Amino acid sequence: MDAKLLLKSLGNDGYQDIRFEALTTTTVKVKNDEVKEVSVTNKKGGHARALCGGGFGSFSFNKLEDAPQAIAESIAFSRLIPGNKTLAPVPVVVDKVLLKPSIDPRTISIEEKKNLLLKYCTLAKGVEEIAVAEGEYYEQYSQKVFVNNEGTHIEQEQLICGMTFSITSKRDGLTQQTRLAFGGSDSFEDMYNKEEEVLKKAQITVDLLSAKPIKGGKYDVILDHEVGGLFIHEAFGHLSEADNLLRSNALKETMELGKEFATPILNVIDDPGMTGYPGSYIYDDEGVRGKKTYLIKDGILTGRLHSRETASHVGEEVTGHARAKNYEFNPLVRMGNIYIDKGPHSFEEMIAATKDGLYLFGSAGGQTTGEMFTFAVQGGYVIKDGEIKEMVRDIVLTGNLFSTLKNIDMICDNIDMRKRGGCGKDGQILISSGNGSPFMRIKSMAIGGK
Amino acid sequence: MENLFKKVLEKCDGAELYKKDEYKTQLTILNGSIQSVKGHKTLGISLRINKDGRSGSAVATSLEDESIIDRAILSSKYQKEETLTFKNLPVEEVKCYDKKVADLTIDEIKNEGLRILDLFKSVNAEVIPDVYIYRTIEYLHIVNSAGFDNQYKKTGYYILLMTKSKQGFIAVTHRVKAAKFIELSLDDVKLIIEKHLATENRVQVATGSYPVIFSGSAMGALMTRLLSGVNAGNVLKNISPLENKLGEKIASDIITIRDNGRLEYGFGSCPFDDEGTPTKDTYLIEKGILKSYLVAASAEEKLKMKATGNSFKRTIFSNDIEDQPSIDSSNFVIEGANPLPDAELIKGIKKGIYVDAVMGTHTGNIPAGEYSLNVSAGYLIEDGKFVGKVMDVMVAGNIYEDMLKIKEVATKPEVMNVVFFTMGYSPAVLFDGISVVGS
Repeated sequence: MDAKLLLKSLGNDGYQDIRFEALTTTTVKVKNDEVKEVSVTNKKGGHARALCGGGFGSFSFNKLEDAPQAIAESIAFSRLIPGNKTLAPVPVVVDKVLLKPSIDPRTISIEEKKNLLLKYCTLAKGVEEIAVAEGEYYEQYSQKVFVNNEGTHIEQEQLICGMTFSITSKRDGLTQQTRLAFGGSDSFEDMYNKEEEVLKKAQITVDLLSAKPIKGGKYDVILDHEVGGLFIHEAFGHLSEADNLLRSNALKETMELGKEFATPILNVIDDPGMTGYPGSYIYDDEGVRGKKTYLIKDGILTGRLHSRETASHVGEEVTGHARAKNYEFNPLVRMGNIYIDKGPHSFEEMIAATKDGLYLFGSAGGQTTGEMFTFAVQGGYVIKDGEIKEMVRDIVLTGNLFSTLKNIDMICDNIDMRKRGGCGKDGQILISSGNGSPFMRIKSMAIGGK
Repeated sequence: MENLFKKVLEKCDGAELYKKDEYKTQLTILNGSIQSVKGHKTLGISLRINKDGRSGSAVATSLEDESIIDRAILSSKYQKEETLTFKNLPVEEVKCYDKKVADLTIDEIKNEGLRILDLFKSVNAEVIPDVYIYRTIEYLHIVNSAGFDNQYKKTGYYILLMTKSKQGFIAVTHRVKAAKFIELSLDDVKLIIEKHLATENRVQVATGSYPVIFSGSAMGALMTRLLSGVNAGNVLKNISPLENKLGEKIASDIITIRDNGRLEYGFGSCPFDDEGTPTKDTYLIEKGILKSYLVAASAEEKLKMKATGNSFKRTIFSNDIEDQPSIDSSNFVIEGANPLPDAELIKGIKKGIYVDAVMGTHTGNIPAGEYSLNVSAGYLIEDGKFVGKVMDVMVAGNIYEDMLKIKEVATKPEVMNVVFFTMGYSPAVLFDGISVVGS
């Protein structure tokens, strides 16, 4: 991509940047043994920003030659905003980031991708009482150029691919649904030899038909790594995104660094620099290198995720977490790979130490308002006197930030990251957002039910 | 458009070319000051074709990108042997374009945002909301090989307000959304502030079964489940609980639910859907009886029903050019027999919950109608009055049981919220005996 016009579009007035990207997505969708959709999408566009007043003016556009106009519009918008906002300083970077995946998905034919997906869906559908097995292969490759009028010029390739499945079982009028995911990185490697996992998940989906619906109430729960990852993403991760602090002075006090925020056994980290996960990247959409950040250390609030604007707002260090879904959107402060650090216990010890509780598996989406959060799981098992017993279904949990993080009392000694990325914020779904966790136990979580 | 389509027809057996020009402006006011102003001018091109007995699709962001044709043909090679049916049905105009919205300058949008802030300050200087104003102008044009060649222009105007608690978290959210300009009134602001003040007294509620009012906004969570049930695609997949239920009573006989794509200045209104099928006013539930499903053109034959004009290029989480047309709401419109003014609805409750906003709309077993929602903004009602914000509360149930428990419906329509997007208009609805998990 020729960056000359982008560089020429930039002036000296205040701060100005442009990112331009060419996006190619390959999608294959399958239902049971039928292909529903194969598409290869090409999109191109840019996003300009200017800070010449009290806030950013920005403009999204498609054609490279519209970049000068987009910058002019951004400057005009920014000048409408009273004030004189500044950005936290960052090093000037000139760099080119090229991909080196172990198995490059772009070298695998659509035919092979389709056949693999069909094989897994047909396998799942073959399990008795499975009504529908739907699978999707996604591959998103982007070439981004970022330039600003401070001298930063980064050309960066990004790639993520994976398979996701939705498996539905049906018996009489009752249906149950589970999810499964492979990949979530720049390599195709994780997509092979998954027959056993597919069959196991299909069988769990059928077993859920015989499970009893959960009765609403408070439970001690052990979360698997998927549910634990979703939990920390919703319960705390979003609140650690410092653009929340732009909204409220009161929140700055509520979120003061150094406050005891959680049980002393809890450590939470966000690291975009770990390779091979959905939220892995080198530079964010402000040209800042993503930095490993301790958010909670021994239960104490120690850090948060920043853009240049938010870091300047509270006088903290930039962490390189400003990212946008694509050129149509402003960069927002987003998590990279957030995870809970490992603890001292084994899974078996945790089950044995639980007299009356639930073991919950498989994430099924969540949401937060900051203070309160909710997340759904695919199913669970009753734990009675230290043993895993019967299955239960229809489980949605809810919690309060200030009590739940203090109610974590056991953390397992291994960590696993989720294979499926994804996070929604202000209308932007970002698939390149990862999370993970060891098994963990939380006392007295509220579960909805009839 | 014409040139590209000609080239498409030279290589394909049948085709549909879709073009959307979008102009958007967004003003954000946070913490009492303007935070940002964003502009947006983009183009999306989508092509669907038939070639050698198979269908294919592709998208681009420029009319000059002729690779869209070969990419659509490539896509068709992997599909099963089935073609798309392109039609040319007559289209009638719908009121969905407001010149006033289209002509708004950024200065006028900024002034409107500041006027809203001033309204709040005039009532209570302590309650300053975040204000978001979105203005959109869309030009949509579809041509197909059956001779369909129609276009429309459409405006959108959306105000989102969020007040914050003393700890800095979201307290009350209020939405105004239509295809025309709507001026937020002082009465609207007074009502938002009244709700906000009620959130300052935080109360616990014991687990049990209570009369529950879902606000019009919160009804979106329940209607997301109904949308899945009336989706003819789910009926054909045998995963809709409403399969074979046409003509049967599935809700209280005081409730009528339509999907009205022709609602005057409704934010989801337009003359035709994203496959070129004219939009309709479809009765889904009339006085409690299931009347229809929402049908895509592709399901017409299998169900022996006419397409309802509900195929849109969006999902619960996206509104992108690459989204394939699939069944979605245009404007769900909920109406009740003998509706009560909102205040009367609350007055009649001795002890119950008013659910104003929920989290978890997209989670749980949606196809089965199950819901288990965190009440992110809700109030305890005692002796007909709000006494405080309920904390750490969930409501749970199944809409196919709970729609039969609807007792009363209020009068004032609100925009139904569905995570990022919205799905129509509903007044507050009172349900008798909903399961509540509290302390």
